[in-house]
Amino acid sequence: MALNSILTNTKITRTLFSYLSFSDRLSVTATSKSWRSVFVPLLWAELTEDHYSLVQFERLVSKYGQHIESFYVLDPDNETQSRAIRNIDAIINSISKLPNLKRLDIDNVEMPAQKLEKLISELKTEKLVALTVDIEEPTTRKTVETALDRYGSQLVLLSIDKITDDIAAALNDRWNKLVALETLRLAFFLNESQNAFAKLSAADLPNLRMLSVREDTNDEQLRSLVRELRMTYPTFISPEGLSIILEAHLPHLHELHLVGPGVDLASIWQSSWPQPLALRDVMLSVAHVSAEILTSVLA
Amino acid sequence: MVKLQSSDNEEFEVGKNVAVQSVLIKNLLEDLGESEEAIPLPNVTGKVLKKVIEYCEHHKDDPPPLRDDYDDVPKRSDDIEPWDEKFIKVDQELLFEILLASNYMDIKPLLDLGCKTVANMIRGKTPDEIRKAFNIVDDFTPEEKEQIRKENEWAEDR
Repeated sequence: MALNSILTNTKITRTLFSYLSFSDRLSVTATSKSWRSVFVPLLWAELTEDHYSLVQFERLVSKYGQHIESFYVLDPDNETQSRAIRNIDAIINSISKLPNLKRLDIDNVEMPAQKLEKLISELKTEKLVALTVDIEEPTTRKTVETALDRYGSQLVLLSIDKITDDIAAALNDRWNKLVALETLRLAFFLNESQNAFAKLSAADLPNLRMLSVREDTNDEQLRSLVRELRMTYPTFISPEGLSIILEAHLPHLHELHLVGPGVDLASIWQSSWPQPLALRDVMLSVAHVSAEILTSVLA
Repeated sequence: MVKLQSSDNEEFEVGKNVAVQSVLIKNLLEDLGESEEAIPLPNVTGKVLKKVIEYCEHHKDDPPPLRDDYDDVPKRSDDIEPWDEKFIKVDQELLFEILLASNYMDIKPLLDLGCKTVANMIRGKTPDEIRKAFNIVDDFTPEEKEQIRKENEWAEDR
């Protein structure tokens, strides 16, 4: 009797499901019709790496697409996923049809920018609240414009890699739309100089709590050389832009990741900023940081 | 002190720090103020409420639970403290009643404890073993079973 009451209680079944391994999750869907009706929607709500191990992955994405709220497309070098995705076009086509998609993570995926542009423009979902875009080449301006024009007011997470001048312009025209945004992650492309925050005002991004700004380089050797020899490293993150966003949002940020080997944080930091800060998670890898700044952060 | 009344009219008097571990009661006390009247809990029997109070008494000095962050990775269920493990070692019917009460009274740590315990009862079992463990009737046709088996099949060399 009580077991039936539990199965009809969404909060309890979701909590129970969160403590099951993927294989146990599969087992509970095969127990009885009533258990299956409860646990299949939960099994497919969030796609994890484990889902890619299912032999019928592609077919099941179509079959259970109405349950999928979170789709994680990840590293194409991942062997499990490479096996599961025999046809990336078919998967992209499936993603575009998902009616209840809330979170889309395209993370380090070898996908032409034009294909991503097409995917974003054809998304059926009206519910997208989290978008991560990291493909091998820079995203097109139209991709960012389409995503922000359609979902900007409801996005709580936005993560874009390889910011070019074009993307910076698209962002600058739309900061005032991102009223729900809590997490912003931007990685700057080393070949261009951008000021993605030029048109950001103090009233924009009223709910921002997590900010990650980093220069996109994998050249660890160069970084350590810069550190060891105290060389000058050119920065591609505009100090003016960074100053604007920190001034507007630092007092209520919970998380700050700032990775810019050429960024002179000491010249941007203002002693007038209120104390103590609300930061709980900080990562700083910058050219200049003073004892005063560290004191402020640690306070 | 706060008085609580079960669905079968049993009354319990507990310290406020014990009672407010239930977010339901905490909100009621904040909205209505403290009173001599017992707070009715129509969805919880005396037997179950006694267990819930025992849990809240033991954990009355614990820090407030953290909110769940977004995370699609399965959470650990093997980190139950010895006292909690002994406390939750009850028959299945009572375990499920405690789960329902913890949800109704909004006591997150107790809900987590109950769910971890059920998850541990499921862990590593085949569908058939799960049916036996929870006395569930297998109502699939052979064709449906075969279809589910195919859907749940993993790549061999994963």
